[in-house]
Amino acid sequence: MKQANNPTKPEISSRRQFLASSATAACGVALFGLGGCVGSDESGVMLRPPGASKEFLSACIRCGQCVRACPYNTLKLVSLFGKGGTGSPHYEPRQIPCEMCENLPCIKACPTGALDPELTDVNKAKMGIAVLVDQETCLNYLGLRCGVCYRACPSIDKAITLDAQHNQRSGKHTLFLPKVHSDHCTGCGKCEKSCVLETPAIKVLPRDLAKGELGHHYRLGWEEKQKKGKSLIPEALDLPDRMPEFSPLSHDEVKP
Amino acid sequence: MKLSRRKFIKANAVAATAVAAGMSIPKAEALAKEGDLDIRWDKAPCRFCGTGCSVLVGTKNGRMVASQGDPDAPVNRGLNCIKGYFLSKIMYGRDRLKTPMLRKRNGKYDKEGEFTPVSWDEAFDIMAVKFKEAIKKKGPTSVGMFGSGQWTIFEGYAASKLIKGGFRSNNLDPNARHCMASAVAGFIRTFGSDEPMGCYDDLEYADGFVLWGSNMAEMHPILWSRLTDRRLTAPHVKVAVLSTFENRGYELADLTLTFKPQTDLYILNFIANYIVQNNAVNEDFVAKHATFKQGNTDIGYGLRPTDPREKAAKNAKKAGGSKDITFAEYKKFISQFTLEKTSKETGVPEANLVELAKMYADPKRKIVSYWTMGFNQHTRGTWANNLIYNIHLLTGKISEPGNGPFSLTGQPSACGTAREVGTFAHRLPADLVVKKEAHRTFTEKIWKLPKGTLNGKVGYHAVLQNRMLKDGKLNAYWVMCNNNMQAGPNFNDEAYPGYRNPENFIVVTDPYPTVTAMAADLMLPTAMWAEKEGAYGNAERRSQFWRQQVKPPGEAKSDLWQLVEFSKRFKVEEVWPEDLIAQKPEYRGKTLYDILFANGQIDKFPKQKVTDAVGNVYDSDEMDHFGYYLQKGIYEEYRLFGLQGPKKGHELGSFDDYHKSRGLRWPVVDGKETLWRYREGYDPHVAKGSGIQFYGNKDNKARIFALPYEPPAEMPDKEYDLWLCTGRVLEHWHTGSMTQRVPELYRAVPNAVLFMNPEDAKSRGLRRGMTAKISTRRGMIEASIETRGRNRMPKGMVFLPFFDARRLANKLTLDATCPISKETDYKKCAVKVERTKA
Amino acid sequence: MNIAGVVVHARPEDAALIQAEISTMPGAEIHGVKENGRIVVTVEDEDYKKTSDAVLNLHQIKGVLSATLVYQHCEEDS
Repeated sequence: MKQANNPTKPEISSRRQFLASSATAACGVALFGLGGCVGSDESGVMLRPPGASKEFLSACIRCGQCVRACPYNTLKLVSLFGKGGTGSPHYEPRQIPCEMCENLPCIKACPTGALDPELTDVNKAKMGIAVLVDQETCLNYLGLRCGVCYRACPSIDKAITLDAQHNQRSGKHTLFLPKVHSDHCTGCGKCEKSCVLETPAIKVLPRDLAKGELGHHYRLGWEEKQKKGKSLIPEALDLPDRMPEFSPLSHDEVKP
Repeated sequence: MKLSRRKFIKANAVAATAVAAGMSIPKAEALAKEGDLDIRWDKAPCRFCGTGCSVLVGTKNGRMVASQGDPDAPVNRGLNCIKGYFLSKIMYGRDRLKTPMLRKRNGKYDKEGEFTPVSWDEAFDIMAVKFKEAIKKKGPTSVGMFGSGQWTIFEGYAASKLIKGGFRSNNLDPNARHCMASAVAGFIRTFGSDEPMGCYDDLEYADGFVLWGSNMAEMHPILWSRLTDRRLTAPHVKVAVLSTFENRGYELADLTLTFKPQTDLYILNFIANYIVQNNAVNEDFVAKHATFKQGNTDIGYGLRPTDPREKAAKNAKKAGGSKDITFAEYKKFISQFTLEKTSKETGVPEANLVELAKMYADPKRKIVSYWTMGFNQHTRGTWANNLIYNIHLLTGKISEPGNGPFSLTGQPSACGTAREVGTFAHRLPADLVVKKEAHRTFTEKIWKLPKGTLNGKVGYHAVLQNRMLKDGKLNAYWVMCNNNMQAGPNFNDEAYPGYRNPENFIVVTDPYPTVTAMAADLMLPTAMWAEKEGAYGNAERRSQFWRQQVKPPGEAKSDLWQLVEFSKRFKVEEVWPEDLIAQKPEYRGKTLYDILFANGQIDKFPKQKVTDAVGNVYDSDEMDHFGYYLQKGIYEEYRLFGLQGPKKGHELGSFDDYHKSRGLRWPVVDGKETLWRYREGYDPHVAKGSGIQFYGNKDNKARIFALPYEPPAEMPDKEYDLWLCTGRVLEHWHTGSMTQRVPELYRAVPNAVLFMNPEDAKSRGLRRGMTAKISTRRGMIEASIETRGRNRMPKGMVFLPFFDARRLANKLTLDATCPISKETDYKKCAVKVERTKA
Repeated sequence: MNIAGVVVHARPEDAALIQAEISTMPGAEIHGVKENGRIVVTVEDEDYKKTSDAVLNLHQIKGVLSATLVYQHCEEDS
């Protein structure tokens, strides 16, 4: 292998030295960090403990008390050169998800109120929201009976439900499609942690990144009807259909 | 070979790098794709549950590198559950056993010694010594074997021949005893013939499904997917789920009934009563095809005879007895199961009970009942099975598309191996039993054994084997293809002591160092699944074959190899009495191998190349070793039981046909499968003009049984104040010895947790996630509390999965069984949950 | 066996020289060159450490603007 140091152009050489060392770092990540989850840290997207508001960083004094109080070692401090507030707490669900302690020890430990002490029910925490980011690799979308994220969810059937749909390809099976419900998902990340894919198809994102917003003018008719228990308008006239005296649709009788 | 792999990986590297550079290098792309082309694909049934999904196994350079659901398989159409998705990883756990390991001290076998690698010769030498010693000292009943519903058909057959025909011991039982023995006993008692009449096609024909103690959503994931599809695409279809706690099936259910443990017996009888009271009996059907019986009551709990509960039970020794009664007497008997009483005893609202009864009573609604361990692992499991048949018989809803009772099996070959081959302590192949002389005589004829070789006394069943080990009556014991130390009940009192009893020599054959293997004296490494040629039979009577895809690691040898090779160590004079040998003087001086396997039948098919339709060549390690096509010989001999045996309706197809097909449902007659048994037109054995014949019984009729409610063996009391139910989770198979070694599945569900009602937790000072002390009269473990998640527990009941080797659920369970089927009730015992002192 | 795929980015005018340089490196092989100066290179070695050294050495070649590791495969030889 040829040594590429060129004595005639030292300035370039030193620039190359810099490039080489930055490449060491980059390759280090690529070579040694293959199993790790670097996404959130790199992009500066942070998942914060329960009760953290948008202005969390300005209220957090980086004391580390919440990290010490976390019984599952979920919470970590942002490292010296990390983005998103050195010394502030965060968690990476693929490493250790939030176990949603009923007694919220992290909030109790917070001396400044940066983690909102008003939050007393962990189910109301909004740390983030799980998003099924990749339907192409999600095994449920492929028709396999995985549903590991669904069963791992502490708020199963509320935060994640399975939408059952006919599997057109097999003709006799069902697709059980996971659907996340933002009003119940706390962002604990048990789903992301448990996803059996090499890279999870479901990930927790900060809520402002993940949520769409419906037009304020539109209501969902079926939900409004369910809320009211009947149609929103008075009963409308419906004339009977003319039918032969003997109805061939006898099977109707067993319909619910 | 190595060079071509390097070339392929390089092509991949080039292709990926080219994409990043925004250029196209077609040659590399083509080569990278071609890499997939040199994967060899062949079919095999999934290694896990009784559903019997078919997968395509991708091998390359002697290693299984990929798998996929078989898109043309009728059961699963290319789909798998999450365990099936990871099949390619189960054989490659880091701690595979690769050499026999014997407990030794100072270079010699010592029960208290350390596991030391030994050769196969040394392993079989000591084993043979111990087996011969036991037989010589205490006779054939001092040796035994615990086998498996995960054995291949060939392995089950070889084991049955070696233990029952060779050693003349009936102490052979499969782990299927823990799984569906009650279903077997129920089928035999009602129909005189084992296994369901229907098949999975019922899923697309029924108008209603009733799940009795079956968490099909998790335990039979692909069938559940089919059931759900039927519900979605035919809106009139109704699904009812019965359980003692809310499981994943409740999501889809139109009707749910959460009942108090054991009170399913009330519900079953109430439905029958409702059918009678509302004139919904199919009178014509009942008159032609059923008779009535009153079963013995007060039959005990299959505990040790010294247990006060057994002493108090009047009919503990005649548990299976019954007498004939009339329809009128039956009606009078069930009239006690009124709606009011049933609702009160079960805790189920009256409206739900009536709605369920109506589903069965409505003559226009075709109904399939499914059940698994809720019925089978029940101290009245045989009764529960009989009682569900009552309902289908009273309404005539049986043996036709969309109508029928269907017992789902847990294991991949519970039907194919444990039941059909008859590896139970009381059975012989094709529905024959050791008790009947005619059956023994027929078996001796096929096996070319002297008359009287087979023992007419039923051997030790699973739970009894552990008791007899402890008591020192069973001394040389071979455990194969199961993890009974973790899966058997009452670990502390009845499982572990027998293995470590100094009088005993315990051999465990397994791919991994399981809890059971670690408790043994000798561990033998085995080939698993696709490392050998095999055959499984699933819950719908479908037998599926596969070829050997890869070599087992190290010195590992298949269970079949071990069984057959071990038989060479016995001279007939060492195990048989003189009067038997005198009948067949030509056997004098021969080994059990010569008599049982090289018998002119099994060694009939000479060595050949194993190929598929496109000419791929497969290994056959057993053929290479023994010099003939062992699997084929075994299978064709076994097949004679179905073709010539005294019990009709068990015909199987030919060995070669099974290798060609995606499985066939027996009876296979005139080149056709049978989808619905006992029904004219569908079943070749039913006489023309008769409509239905339950030909398992001589009178061609089924039995309707009058059986009451009786309480379980142990109920919560002041001290042990909760019900404990144990079971499985979707992500793990049984004791987790395979799935816990797949990193992704381990991550998905790493630990067993105790599912508990939040109020029960609170009242004990427990919070979700806290570690709790869980104890019964038999033992204690610690596990963390889960008050949310997949199972919702009613107050007074907790659920604990048994896959976790670090939290042995069976330290807690009671070894009470159904006295008829001898299957353990893992679903009910009394438990106490407390805070640990931290 | 260790194989790495690297995109080497060079000034288009230097590309020919750099190619010549790379082809002298043991274990390195050029599979394609784009007119904008991107070169597709694989580096292989039995020794994991040497492969990563080789990737770093690609940077040291005069005229190379960047060398990006895209694909990395390592497996134990059996």
